[in-house]
Amino acid sequence: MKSVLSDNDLAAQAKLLELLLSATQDGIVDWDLLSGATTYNARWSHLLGFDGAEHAEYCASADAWRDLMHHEDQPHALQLIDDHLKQGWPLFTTVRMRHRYGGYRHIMVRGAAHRDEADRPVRLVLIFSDIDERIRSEERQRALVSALPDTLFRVRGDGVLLSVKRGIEREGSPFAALREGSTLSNCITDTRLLARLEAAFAEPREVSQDAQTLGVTSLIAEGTPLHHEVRIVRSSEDELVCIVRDVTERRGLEEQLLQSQKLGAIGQLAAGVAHEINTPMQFIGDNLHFARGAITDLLTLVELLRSAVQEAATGPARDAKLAELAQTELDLDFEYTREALPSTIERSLTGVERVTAIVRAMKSFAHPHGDRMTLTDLRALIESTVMVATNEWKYVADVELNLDASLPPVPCIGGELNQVVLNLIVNASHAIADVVGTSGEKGKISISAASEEAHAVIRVRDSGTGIPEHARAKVFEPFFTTKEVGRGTGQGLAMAYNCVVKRHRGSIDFETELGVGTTFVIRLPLITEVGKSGGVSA
Amino acid sequence: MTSRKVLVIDDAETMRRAVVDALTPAGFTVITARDGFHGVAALKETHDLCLVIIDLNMPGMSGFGVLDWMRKDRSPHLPPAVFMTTEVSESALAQAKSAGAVGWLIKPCRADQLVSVVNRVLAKRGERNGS
Repeated sequence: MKSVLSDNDLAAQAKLLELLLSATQDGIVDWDLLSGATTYNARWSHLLGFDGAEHAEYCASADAWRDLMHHEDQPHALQLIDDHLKQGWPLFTTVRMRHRYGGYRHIMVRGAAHRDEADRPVRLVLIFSDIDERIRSEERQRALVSALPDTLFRVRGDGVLLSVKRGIEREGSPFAALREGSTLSNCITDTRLLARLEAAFAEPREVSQDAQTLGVTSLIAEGTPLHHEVRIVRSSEDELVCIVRDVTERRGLEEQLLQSQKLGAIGQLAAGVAHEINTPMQFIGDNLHFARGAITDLLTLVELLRSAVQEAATGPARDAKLAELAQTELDLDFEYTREALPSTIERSLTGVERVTAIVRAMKSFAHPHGDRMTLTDLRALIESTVMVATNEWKYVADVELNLDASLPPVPCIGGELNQVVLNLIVNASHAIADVVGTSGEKGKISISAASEEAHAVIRVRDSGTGIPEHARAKVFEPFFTTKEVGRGTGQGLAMAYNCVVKRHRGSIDFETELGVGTTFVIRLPLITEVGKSGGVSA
Repeated sequence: MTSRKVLVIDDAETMRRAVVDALTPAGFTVITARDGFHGVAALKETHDLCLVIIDLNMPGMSGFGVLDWMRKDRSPHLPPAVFMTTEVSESALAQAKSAGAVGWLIKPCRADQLVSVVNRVLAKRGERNGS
């Protein structure tokens, strides 16, 4: 700038400069490179805890800013200053400076040189900004993040990984190869997982909206499934933060819990089933006792008949024998035996059939088709479940089954679905018991199954109390129950919801009216993506 | 006579024009490329460049990508590189220095600052080549 300034202008500019220097929050050092003279603004020594008097004392030294710098940071800072003066590189660094009251503070140092006509630096202005709070909070944040067991990474819109923080990862984790500076597609080899992540990243999101959770299952070569939960938050217009948590262990525990719930239900049913088996066994026993007596009697008569027949052919005591025979027939009530014996045998056989059916139902209930999605005969599933649960309902209700014979096999996990049906039957029985009490009257449970459009629909209707208003919104919540201790744990409908909605992608709803009863409606898709969901599934 | 041809690689059209407007009056010929890939193509084709000015943050191939390519290619005709960015971090500076860049401009900069940095870089280059 070649313009000539008047004295007034200069004075005004000097005034402005002075004002700026005193108003700024930054410490400023002005270093005349030719004379070596150095001036500090008041704020500079203030940054490091010195008051006015001490300022004058300390800042008498031209080298104060160098001397107060941490000895480990000094060489680097001086090198950067040299690079700036000699080659014009930007001067920008963070150093630790000793504070008047002990310890060091993180100070950001920036600088710019003034150059003469020959491009030689003649003057250097250094600006010192206190960023200690920021650095320390960053360090705290870093410590916090590094303490997390999760894997964290930031990814830019074009797929470049801006930063990666490794979590605790199992062998074979698809996230183990993430590297800062590389792209997502170079680090993740599982194409299905990659496609899923890319699709999730492409979804529109607001900055710092709540995290969206993406469930991921990934299979590794040996066939051991690893489960990861991926959370995604947009951190800026062109940047997403992802948190990957290994939930393999949790999934395992969930599966164990499901299994133990199932075993628990079977255990509870066992007492009822024992009773169900005991009743027919008792009358089978009674009948056999009767049959044993009847057969002894018959054999006695047969003996007499044989000797009477012999006598009739040869002997003189024919009439006496015939009289004895007639008397014995009367004594042993042969007419009754002849009538009763066949029906006794019939009844016993019926009893045996019933026991066999119960045992068969119990077996099919416990291990219907394993835990995989398979095409299942819903009618047989419902029938065996009703049978197994007989002891739960038979004292309070009659069960009416209306199972459409044209219902095609339904893709489902039989071992879980029968639990759902069982839970609904038990709930229905409890609701009816609350109505009929010990009056001896019986309510009604109607169970129907039919196909409606693309769904198999199961309805379980009871003539019970209905669900009170305050409980309606919560019935599917785990551990929510209105039953007294010992009668329910609040797991049944939560498990039903989980099974139907999450595992089968179906729906479960209910209609209820106080004093009239409740109908639960389960809809299962007849066509599912069985077999498609090999590698990655929610 | 030394060349006065400069290549500018920047995805922002206004930036490319600003550099052209600043350096042309100072006697430079300026050619431009709109991203890293075009930049590399221009570096391969143009053998009489005295300097390349590279924007750091560009979609596709970044400024460091271009510098990486230059370092690996090692053709004798490749000119010295200067970065030009809006922001600067210590780690990026250190990376640029170790990757062989000879200077760094912080946007926005005045035309006279740009010219003086370019001149300084070329002067240093001249000294080194001369000695």
